[in-house]
Amino acid sequence: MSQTAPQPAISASGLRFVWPGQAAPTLDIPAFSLDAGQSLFLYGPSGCGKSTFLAALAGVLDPGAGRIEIAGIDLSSLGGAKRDRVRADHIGMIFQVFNLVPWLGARDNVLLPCRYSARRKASAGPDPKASADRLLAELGLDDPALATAPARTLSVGQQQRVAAARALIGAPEVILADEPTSALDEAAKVRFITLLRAEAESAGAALLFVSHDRSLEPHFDASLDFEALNGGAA
Amino acid sequence: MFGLAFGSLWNRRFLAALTILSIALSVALILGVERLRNEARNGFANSASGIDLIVAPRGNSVQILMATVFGAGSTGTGLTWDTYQTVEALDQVGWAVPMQMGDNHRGYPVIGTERSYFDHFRHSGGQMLEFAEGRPFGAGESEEAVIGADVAERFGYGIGDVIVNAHGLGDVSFDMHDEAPFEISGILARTGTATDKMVFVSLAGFDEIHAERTPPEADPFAAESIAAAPDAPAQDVDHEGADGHDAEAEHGHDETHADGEDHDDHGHADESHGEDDHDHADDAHGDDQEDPHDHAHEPDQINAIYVGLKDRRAILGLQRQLTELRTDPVSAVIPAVALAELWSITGTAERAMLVMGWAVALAGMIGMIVMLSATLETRRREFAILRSVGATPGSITGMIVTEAALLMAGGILAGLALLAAATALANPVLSARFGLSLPLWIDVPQDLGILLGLFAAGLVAALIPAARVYRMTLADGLSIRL
Ligand SMILES: Nc1ncnc2c1ncn2[C@@H]1O[C@H](COP(=O)(O)OP(=O)(O)OP(=O)(O)O)[C@@H](O)[C@H]1O
Ligand SMILES: [Mg+2]
Repeated sequence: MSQTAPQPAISASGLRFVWPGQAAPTLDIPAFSLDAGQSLFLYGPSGCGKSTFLAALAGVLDPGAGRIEIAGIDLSSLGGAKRDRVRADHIGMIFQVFNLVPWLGARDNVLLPCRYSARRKASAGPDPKASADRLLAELGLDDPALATAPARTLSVGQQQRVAAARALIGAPEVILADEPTSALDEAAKVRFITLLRAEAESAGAALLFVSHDRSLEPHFDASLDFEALNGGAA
Repeated sequence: MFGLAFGSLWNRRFLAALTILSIALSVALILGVERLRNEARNGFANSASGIDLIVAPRGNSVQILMATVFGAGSTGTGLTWDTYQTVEALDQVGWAVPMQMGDNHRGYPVIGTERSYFDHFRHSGGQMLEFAEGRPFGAGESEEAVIGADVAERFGYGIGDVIVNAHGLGDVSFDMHDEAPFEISGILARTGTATDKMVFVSLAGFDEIHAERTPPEADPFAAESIAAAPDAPAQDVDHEGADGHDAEAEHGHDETHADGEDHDDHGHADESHGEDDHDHADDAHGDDQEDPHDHAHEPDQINAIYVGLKDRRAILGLQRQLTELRTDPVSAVIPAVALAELWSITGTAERAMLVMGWAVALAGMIGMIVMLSATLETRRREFAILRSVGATPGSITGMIVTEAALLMAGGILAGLALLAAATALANPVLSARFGLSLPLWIDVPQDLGILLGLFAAGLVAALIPAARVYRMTLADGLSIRL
């Protein structure tokens, strides 16, 4: 993909990353970008480095070479703590499983980013709790009992929707989703993706959705083969 | 972070409670021992000064010291008046004051002595006893009493109030026959020592309390066992009755004094006596009297003699000389030496308790480290989630330290509460037996150091799991693998 929009939500160039102890670089990405409001489906076989790529975009890894910009902020020039700050302020993340702090209630899980980011908290409106409940309701979790129940008591599908609400709260510019539907059945997968896409779109967030399951491809604006992107990978 | 740390601990509340409990135990133990030791050392060291020797029936010097200066327990069987006269007549002796003990007023020890006690006794490094109000009991008057500051405060006594003393060390409220009323003639200024908890009466007055009783109990522990209940019902006698027999209380009369509630008092004749000149107003003592040669105004038996020397350098010689006394087998105790002996006895126990306290503290902290560390593995997921929403490795490390701080703070607070409860329970016993009463809450400058030290040690200990978390979160990143 080339840089077409005036202000891409994510852009990366010359990205190289080698896990310690490995010969070949896991990441070798000449150029990547995703515009605000766009959704991209990124697929590739297991072990090809998709999760590593997301970790690099989220600023958890420090890629020695290359440049990553999130919402216009250059991560590569920042130290670890500042990258954590950028992640808190601008990125919502959803994982495959185990997204929630098990002993926290659903609503408190949704509100977690607001604890670490004043910006997200401010964007969540005057009453972040109400925003959390609204998001949960939009994702089909409007039972008030669910909001306070510990997250471990929720079903896997419910947990993934809570995780989606958490990624969305406070309107971050970027949503990174790492195979969030792999634990769900077919019907639930489609419902989840539809909801997530709609929410991201209405918030104007860029959605980067990673999976090896190509059947999900049609639900996104565009799709990309990670192995094609990751030129240097073995 | 605080909320998350608390929530996470609450999620593991059973383990957290156990950890807090062990920290609490160590806090209570360490502070309790420390407090007991300080209170005892200060109180005891201040209680005895100015007395060069305490002469008492032969026995353990610590026990003699406890029974006399601290009014706790008793000195075996008594000394005869002959012994007192012999001791007083010795060349080296500057002054000698006879002491009787073993009775109580509502749990506070009653001491029978002479007026000169108030001239010779010293406390807190040589201070004289001072009267906050009133004056010593009248020479020869049997029914006047001088009370310590605590006694006055505790029961709200004032000059002219009439009190009744019971025989024995315990407050045996149903034993009405033993009551003898005393009018308070003086209240001593607070000394901060055992004297505050004492009631002083004349020798004659003391004898009246249990005139027709058997000799003083020989077994201190039998008596002590009931001494733990100083709160038993009050036995005040109304002023009217007191005034009534005030008028009739004259030297040498055989009247029973408890007019109001008297039942079958024998015509006992305990005489008040002028102790300065030892005049021997003869008296027909009660029918159960053991010593037919006793003089009316001189007590049958006394429990101890406080001795002041003309020249303190003679003390060792006199001590040796007294042990060879012909009249009674006696021990002559040097208070400072007996105190040192007491500390050497209690010192071992103190050290053992302190070591135990610190050992429990160590165990508590190790327990805390174990608990925090053991749960780290299962909490990796939690940390990765927090990382993904923006937590820095530092803030996750901070969360672990915060958890440790919460555990320590909880343990310290629980320990203080535990200590306060234990102190509240133990104080009556300590007060009755040793004349000590411990503060319930923290003594800021002294305890705070220990508490802060414990708290800091807990935080330092928490750095072990915290460092692991720091490395773990850096290495794990966002990958949530278990
Ligand atoms: N924490 C790590 N330490 C060392 N090597 C790692 C680590 N995480 C991933 N790798 C390596 O990086 C490579 C890519 O792993 P990654 O998790 O990015 O793959 P993936 O494309 O997400 O696979 P999947 O579809 O199974 O999730 C693998 O070869 C793996 O061994
Ligand atoms: Mg992966």
